Amino acid sequence: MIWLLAFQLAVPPGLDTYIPTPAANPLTRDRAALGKRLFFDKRLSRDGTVSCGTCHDPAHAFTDTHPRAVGIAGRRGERRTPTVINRAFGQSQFWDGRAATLEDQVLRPIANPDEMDSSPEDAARRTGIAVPQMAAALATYVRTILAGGSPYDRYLAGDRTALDAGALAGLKLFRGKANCALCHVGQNLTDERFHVTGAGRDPSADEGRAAVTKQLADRAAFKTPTLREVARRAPYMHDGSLSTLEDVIELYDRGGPEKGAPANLDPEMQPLKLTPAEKRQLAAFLRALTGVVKDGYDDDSSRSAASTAR
Amino acid sequence: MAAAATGGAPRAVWTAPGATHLGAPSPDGRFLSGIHPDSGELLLRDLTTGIQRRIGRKQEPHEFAYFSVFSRDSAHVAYAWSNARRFYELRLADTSTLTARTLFSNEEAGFVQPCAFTPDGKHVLTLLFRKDNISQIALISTSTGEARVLKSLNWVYPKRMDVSPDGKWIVYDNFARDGATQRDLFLLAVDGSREERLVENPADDLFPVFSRDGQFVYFSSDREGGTPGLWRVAVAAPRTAAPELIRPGLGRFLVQGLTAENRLYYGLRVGAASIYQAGFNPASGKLTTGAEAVGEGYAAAWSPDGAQLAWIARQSTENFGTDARFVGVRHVASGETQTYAPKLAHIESLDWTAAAGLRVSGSDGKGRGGVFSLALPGGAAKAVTVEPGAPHTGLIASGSFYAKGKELWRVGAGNEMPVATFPRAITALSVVPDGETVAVAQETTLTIVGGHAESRAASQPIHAIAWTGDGKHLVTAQNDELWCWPRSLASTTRVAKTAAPIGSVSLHPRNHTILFTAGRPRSEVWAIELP
Repeated sequence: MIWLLAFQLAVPPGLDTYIPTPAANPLTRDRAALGKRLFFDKRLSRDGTVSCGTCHDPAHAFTDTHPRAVGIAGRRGERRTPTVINRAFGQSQFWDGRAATLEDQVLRPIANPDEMDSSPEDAARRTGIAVPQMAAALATYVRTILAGGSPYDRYLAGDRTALDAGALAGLKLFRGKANCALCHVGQNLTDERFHVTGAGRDPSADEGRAAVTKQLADRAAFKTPTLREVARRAPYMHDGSLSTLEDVIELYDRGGPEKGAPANLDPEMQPLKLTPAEKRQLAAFLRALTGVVKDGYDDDSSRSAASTAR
Repeated sequence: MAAAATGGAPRAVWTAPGATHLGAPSPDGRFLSGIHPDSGELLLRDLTTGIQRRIGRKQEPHEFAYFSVFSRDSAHVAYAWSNARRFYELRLADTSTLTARTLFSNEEAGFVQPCAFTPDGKHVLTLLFRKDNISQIALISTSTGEARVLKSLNWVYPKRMDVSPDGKWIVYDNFARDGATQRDLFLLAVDGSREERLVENPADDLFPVFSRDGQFVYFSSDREGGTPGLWRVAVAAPRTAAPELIRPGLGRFLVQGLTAENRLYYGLRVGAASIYQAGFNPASGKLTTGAEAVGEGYAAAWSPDGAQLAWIARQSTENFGTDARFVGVRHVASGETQTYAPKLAHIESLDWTAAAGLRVSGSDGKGRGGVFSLALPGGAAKAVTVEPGAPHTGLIASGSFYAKGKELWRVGAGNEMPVATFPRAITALSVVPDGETVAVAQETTLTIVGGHAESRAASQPIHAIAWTGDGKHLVTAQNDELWCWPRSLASTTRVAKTAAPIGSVSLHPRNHTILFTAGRPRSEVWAIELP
């Protein structure tokens, strides 16, 4: 664990020590602590039944197990709850990137009728925290939710024993034949760009990034998610339509969906011709991306949000 | 046009053969580091006496030094070393005892570029280029070798970084935004607390270096069009000062560093390979006309119908980067020439195929090395055969085949196995116009693959091969000589001897006019007194 003296924030191995932060909302311990309280405060929702942490559950790497998000009164959202781990390094937020900053992002679920069905102003009244302070604190806390320290990170740092033979073969496939690293790149294993992979129950049903850009080419395009902690984050894809890592590998091995592929399917989506053994190796590597998830300024995992009572 | 601030006139420091632009001046102005032209070892050139001393004896022939930088007290030099295992490690040497030790070695961070020492000498600001195609801005401890990564960048890398004299800031260049091709300058706090954009401009701003007092950052910019010049910008908050021109038209220079006397050293690559054309009779193995220079470039090749010729040319001091090389195409009948800059990070070689047109081997912006087709006109590159995670494959392509190390592969076939594997690395390759017979060179061994296999030894290493259009003869380039062989390889005739090493050879498909490139660019080191 690397400690930044400037903030006393523990950064798991494998992540940059520079955490992009707006000048107007610098990282502080107090703000992160307030943000953490608000993150798990159900008063943010209209009926007091849902907090941010309800869907972004630390026990599941800050997502949940539902194919589509479940809000107040059991309302179903249109998309899978994305994890918020390592969003500090994100260039835009949500599956379609409609929020440029975390300060913008954190307030939107409060107002979404399918999620908390409230308003930031009402939430501020209930919690006694003004909207700007609420946004700043929640964004600060989310910036402290960091995942790293996986066997893969140890391997990259020079520990040649960190990956077993299967995972090591999977890494070679990840970078080579399977072409995963074309999008899942860098410290957070995402290019932060938007791609049309043809995933989903109806691959063309959700307009995806096009809702933001109004460009036909962006229809059904979704942001590349991080692969950190991916083995703990089933089900997969933007609508939770794939139950297992093996299902995801099958999708990419086919080069897209069996039917109904969008006309603007990414040209990089090509059949991979992976053998059954190679698919197992790839899955083994993906499981080696499980490490530690830290939140807040605590350096003791026993006191992290993973065990925070809600 | 902005008025130029006062600065001294550029003066040549080291222009003799063997000069390298990958080193740096020592802050005390005594040494210039570089790479020994013969051994590849790090050398310290005494700027007063011209005496050169080597550092770090190599154990294997293929080891060599690359980028280097001095500590502020000039007592140490950190340098990249391509080691016996063929990846780059960071070494630290004492400039008085000339002893060196490995500071950082990690195959996953397979290329390292030391850029600056921190003022206290406790860290070396280093760029790590990882196998997964990201670069990392890292501080490497000079005592423990531990790397602290401040920032990672996907697929792109800063061309230069520096640490401020107070040790608080790192300045680096990077693309202005995702998808941009021009660079801006950024300041990153050494403690990782914040980052700011120092220079924002549609121009290409790069190679930043702090002034000795830390008040300015000097950098290269083409903001006035044409040849890049030397600019500087004040660093003081609120960082709103407009950059000022120090010296226009320095060329595509590569900043090496500053001395305590405020003298900026920079490297230039000058000269180029020339393209020559001559009449040729394969039956006699003799030239029928004298060789005539027709342009500058390398890897020149006739199109399959002989109506066009194409070549690769350099437009930058660097080897890599989307702006480093371009492709030229000339229509023989009209003389009309087009240049294309495909969005490739590196272009290594060029070849035409009858079916697929112009192809180049190199690497794309995502670090995938392989063969790319170029759509003409336009020059858009499309991957034909790529290998993710292998940005610099040293791959040689011809027709429907390519060579990778000892192996011969078929382009774009999705094949799992090579067509053939040879005892040693393939150094040249050419496919006969019938598309199936391949001439392969492994240093001095020339082999015909397909049909009746033959193998013969040449007198010198073979760098390039070309078939005649009828497939009855081939010509090989061997150092500074061209040789002609019948397809049976039963004999060989020296065609010509040139004044410089030959890089490529191509034969017109009908009239056998020979096209070859000879010579190579060289490096120079220059200096300019800063105001």
